[in-house]
Amino acid sequence: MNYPVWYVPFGPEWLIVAIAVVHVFISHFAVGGGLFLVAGEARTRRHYDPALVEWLRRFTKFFLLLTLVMGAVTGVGIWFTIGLISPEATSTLIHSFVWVWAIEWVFFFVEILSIIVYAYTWDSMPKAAHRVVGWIYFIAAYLSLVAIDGILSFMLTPGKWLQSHALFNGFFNPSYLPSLVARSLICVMLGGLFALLVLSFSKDRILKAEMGRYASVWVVLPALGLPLVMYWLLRTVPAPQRLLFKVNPIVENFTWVMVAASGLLVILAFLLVWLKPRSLNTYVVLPLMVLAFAALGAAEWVREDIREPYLITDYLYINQIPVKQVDAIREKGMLASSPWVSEKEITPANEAKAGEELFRMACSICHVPRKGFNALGPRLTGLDHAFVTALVSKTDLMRAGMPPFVGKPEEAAAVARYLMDNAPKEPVPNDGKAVWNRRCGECHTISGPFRPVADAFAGQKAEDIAGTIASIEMMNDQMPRWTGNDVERTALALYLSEACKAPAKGGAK
Amino acid sequence: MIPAIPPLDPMPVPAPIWLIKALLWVTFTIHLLFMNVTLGGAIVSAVYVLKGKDRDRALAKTLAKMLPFVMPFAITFGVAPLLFVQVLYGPLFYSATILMAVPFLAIIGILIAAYYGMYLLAWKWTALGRAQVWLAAAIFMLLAYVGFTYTHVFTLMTSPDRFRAMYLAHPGGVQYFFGDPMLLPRFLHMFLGSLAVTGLLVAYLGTRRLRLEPELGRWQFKGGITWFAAATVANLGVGAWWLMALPREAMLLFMGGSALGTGAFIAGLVSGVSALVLALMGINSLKPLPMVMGAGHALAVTLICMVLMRDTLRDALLKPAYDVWTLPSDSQWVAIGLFLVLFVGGLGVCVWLLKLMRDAARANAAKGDGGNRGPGLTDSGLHRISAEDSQAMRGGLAPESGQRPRVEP
Repeated sequence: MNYPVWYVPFGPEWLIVAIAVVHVFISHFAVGGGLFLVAGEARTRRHYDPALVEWLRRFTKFFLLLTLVMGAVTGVGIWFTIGLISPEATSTLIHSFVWVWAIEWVFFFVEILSIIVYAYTWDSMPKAAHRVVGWIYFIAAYLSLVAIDGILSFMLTPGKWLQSHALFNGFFNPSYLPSLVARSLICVMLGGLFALLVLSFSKDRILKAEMGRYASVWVVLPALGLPLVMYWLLRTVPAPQRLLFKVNPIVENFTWVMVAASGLLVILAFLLVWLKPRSLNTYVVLPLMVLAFAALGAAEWVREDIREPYLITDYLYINQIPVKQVDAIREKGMLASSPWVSEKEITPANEAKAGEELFRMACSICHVPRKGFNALGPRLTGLDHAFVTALVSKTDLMRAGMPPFVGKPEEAAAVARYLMDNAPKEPVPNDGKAVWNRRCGECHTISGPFRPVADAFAGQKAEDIAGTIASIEMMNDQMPRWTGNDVERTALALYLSEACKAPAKGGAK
Repeated sequence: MIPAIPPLDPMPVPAPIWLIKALLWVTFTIHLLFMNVTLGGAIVSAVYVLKGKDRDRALAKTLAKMLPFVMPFAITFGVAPLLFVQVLYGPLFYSATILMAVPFLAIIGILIAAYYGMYLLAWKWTALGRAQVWLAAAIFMLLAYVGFTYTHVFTLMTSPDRFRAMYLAHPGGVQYFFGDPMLLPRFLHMFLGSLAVTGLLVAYLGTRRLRLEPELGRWQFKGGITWFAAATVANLGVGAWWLMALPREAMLLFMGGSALGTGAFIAGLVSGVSALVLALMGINSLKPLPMVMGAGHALAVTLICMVLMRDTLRDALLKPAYDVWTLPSDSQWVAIGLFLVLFVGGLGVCVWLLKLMRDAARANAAKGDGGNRGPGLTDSGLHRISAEDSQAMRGGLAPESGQRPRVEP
């Protein structure tokens, strides 16, 4: 609202995915891999093994190339990206946490110098000093995680900060500690996993046998603790957002990807590496890497999505609208509140253009109009303008965790016009389930955990249900008027009378 | 036109404005030094490869090997001022970057490419053969893109009256504004500054060679001074161009309109010319090191003055629409204290690490293998000729062979 919205035709989410997930993957490795290096070097202290030292040196080189270049620069990249996509949130974070970032920056330059020194002095430095340099690296890297985790977890659970706006409350927020523990475990796993990758390039079967098994323990052991920590983390997530696990299909799907990929990763690491470390090769490790990337990518996606509809819970909506300003904007109108639009008054002639500008402000952070991920047009085929207008103005009632639409009624109508223009014009099925999905399913479940209708319609005949639907807006002031045709209404009524006959399952109360 | 500047963040600035400003100046000056050596090092290295003699190629290699060490510090010390600039100028900075989102975000990919290019150049120098010059030139072009885009963003940032029309013309983040008369001289000024700083570094490294390799050292020293002097003289012209390109009232700031602006301008000019004079005086001196050091210090003063002038200019161009000194602030003193303590501690650790590395390299050199088994680093970090290069220059005998290097008659 306050800032211009960068319009990304394919949806800005992909930028976050491309940059942030890569960064998260490498930066966790930058911490865990550092620990692996010092632990590996400590092994050579008890029993000096030239092959191991040589391998550690190669591992350091790989580590340097990956973390110092890709890790560090993609970290700056995340910062660029959030500034471009969510300047309002970035500004809030910077105003609250600039000193945390500054402190992290100190750790960061110590990290950089120490890893460079470490990598270049394997031969020239006394062994004890070299080990100390390794520890300095790891401690600095871990402290940078300790610092940044405060800001990341703050966005999900700002806790008492919402009242006090105090740095201490924001940093040590409810999910800070579980999130830090979870990330620490992930760091260790990735340290082990990347060690396996570099180990798989080696031809030394003895080294593989010894270090392969050792590294696989790094992957498997922390994973055993992860479910418990994740449970702890989830307990700190506010209840409305926790509900998204059950009602938002994207969150549900990615949660499954995360669980399945990490479970499979651990099983395969145990079966293929721990049991048979000698036969370790790239074909074994690459699938493990892919699984780890998928699991972490999914976890990050879930972390972002369960924050919906907020960027900073209870403070700032995902589309950059501060919670406190909702009423003021609603009264004035979105077009009048933003300097970044060309259409200030909606007329029949400019309705679609104004709708596009409103869409850009209110929706484009997550949605695209026509084609692609979270495209809205295809979901509106078969609906009428009045109903789409009602949907747009009641977004906050939907199950997916949407922010409220803060425009005036005519602005909702303009967005609806723009979306309808982008909806494919093709015939749609008119069976009851299809009608339910497009006209009811965004806000209701039959008997699920989100606004179930089963009890309301249980035992009713189709004709009675059809009658109720015809005047559904009488039920309460949130329900939109029925604007479908009679064929749809009859089909829907029949479907509901059948579906609500079965005993309600799950969370229906 | 009324500037469309997003409103200030409801959260106050968590520190006194002067503190953020000071940190912005300090970190940006350090960034400039590292950035100059990276950008200038790439192009100077390419030029020396092109010159083609053995001594040229050896120097090119020294510069190329230095790049991957300097780059992470150029980036890290770029991050800090970028952080502080967002605290003070967020509404302008975010808006300007959103207008230029595509070229701005492309910086990330380009930096990664340039950075890997540096490692490739440094680690595979010999294997690259004639491709060295192409790779060094490509690295330079990539870095120049980054520099130009930053110059563009920070120039655009001072013209909020253009934002709205630019955004409405295309919300997809592909806006450039080449029409700004300040843009080109500003970029060229920075670029020539890079050549000057790199030139002085080359000259300094040359003086370090004087004891063992008097001829090569003097040759390198003179070459470096030539780069420095040529770039600095040219920069006086470009600086004048930039000054002329400023709006009249902004230009007058440096002609008495603002105490800080005028003071920095005069001090910068004096120190810049002193650096030039000192460097040129060193050319035929038997012991040029003090002259080079003097020139280096004078150049550092010039850089600081330039940073102050740049800041004065920015604040002046933004007035009256945006006045950074009136931002509400509410200092987080505990966090500031913690930062300062950690900052000093971190610097201490860094100094200790560098000392450790120097000691290790010295001990190793004493053992006789030149301390060069690591991938490219020479003993004191930046400026020692590697064992193989010295060896090549002395006629190709390995130090381990136990024979005295053959001396050319």
